[in-house]
Amino acid sequence: MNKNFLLNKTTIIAGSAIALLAISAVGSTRAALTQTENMQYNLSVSDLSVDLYELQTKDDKAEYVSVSDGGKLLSTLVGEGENFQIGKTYAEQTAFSNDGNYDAYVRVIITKSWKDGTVKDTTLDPALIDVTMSDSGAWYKDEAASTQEREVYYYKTVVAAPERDEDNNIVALDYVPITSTISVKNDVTQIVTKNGTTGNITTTYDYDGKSFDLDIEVDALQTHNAADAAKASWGVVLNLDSDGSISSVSHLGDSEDTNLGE
Amino acid sequence: MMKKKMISLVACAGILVAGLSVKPAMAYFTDYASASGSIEIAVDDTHSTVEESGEGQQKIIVIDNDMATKAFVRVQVVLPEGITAAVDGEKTSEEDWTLKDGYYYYNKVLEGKSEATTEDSTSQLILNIDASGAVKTGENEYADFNVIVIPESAKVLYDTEGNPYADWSQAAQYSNVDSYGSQDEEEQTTSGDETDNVEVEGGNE
Repeated sequence: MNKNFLLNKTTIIAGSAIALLAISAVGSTRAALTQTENMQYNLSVSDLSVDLYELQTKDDKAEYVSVSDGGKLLSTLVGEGENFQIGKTYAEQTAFSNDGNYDAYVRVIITKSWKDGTVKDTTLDPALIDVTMSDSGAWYKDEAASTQEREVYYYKTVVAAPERDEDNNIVALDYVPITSTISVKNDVTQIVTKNGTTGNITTTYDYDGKSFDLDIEVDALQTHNAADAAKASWGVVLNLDSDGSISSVSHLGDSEDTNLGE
Repeated sequence: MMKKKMISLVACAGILVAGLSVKPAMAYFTDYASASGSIEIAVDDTHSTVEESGEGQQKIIVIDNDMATKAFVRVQVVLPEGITAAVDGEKTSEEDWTLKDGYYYYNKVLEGKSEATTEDSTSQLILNIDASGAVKTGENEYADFNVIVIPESAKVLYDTEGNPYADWSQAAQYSNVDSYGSQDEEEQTTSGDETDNVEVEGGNE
């Protein structure tokens, strides 16, 4: 090709048009929203990170063990060879920690339910499973979002990112306690179902052979632009104090909220 | 001159498009961690039976737990008028058995029925029957009389510290149960099913 062809007006325009098209096509892919089994949309980025721990006793030593990666809660609640005692208050200490690079707002969702094997039994009362929080003053309970089965708590203060050394390794993790005890009320020993009214009347215990299930989820949110972040990711309005602590939480559409759609 | 203009025009256009194609922020930084666990519970009836033995005017009572559920047990000994029973303090463990309101309470929890343990039966409750007040039917002859032993069991409930206690208001219902697992109540309840009538011969002088 000779010089004249390359520096031809037409060639230059055509060439730049092709280049423009190529550049504008890059980056136009958009990811579709995916739904997990839990019908939740969670987007996690490694810079902001929380983890869930349970205090487990092994060989008489109690230490926080991470349970979020395939671990199970309540695995060491009852001693070896012992049966779960109805009415007794068991220590069930869970905690979360910020192990990312950024400060975060944290909320915890505690779900209690009864299961028949692996299937949830909706006729049994989750209120008979009693879970207490470790430091109830440190949490704001969202009453509007909480039911007997599912309780939502917002940690009031900002959870700071952990201190790191020169190699960017965490110096010490700060475990913030969530729950402290769990128990099943004695009422379960009295709830029976009678079948039949004449002849042989069979009375069965509703709760016999059922399992109580505890599910804890910890959510973390960036502190920068927290108001918008909370609306977008959590669907709530965070009412913050002057020092950044959460004083209360309200929901989009409540009469106090006048900043919809920002 | 024209060439320079052209090139700078194309360059500006290129920068403009490159700037537009930068991805806008789609979401905020979040993270989550979750875990779950479950424990099965067992709720069941309690049932106990009495083993009686003893010679003459001494009655040895042992209560066995028939079910896998743990239980608290108590015994009521019914005697006719004039007959009394006293616990043989030497042979009966005082800390195991307590007499209260006409019932002999076993203070320890009876474990579920099992071959592996002896804790599913009580220790012996030994009573000395004093028949001196028995009805005389003649010179040196006394009427026969019955000593009725009624066991009752109650579920072991736990208070918040894990200390076991019994709710005896529930006990009476279960003491007449014949079958295990679920409770079968028949329309015509047969009374005296759980009582063991023993004849003690009077007239020993």
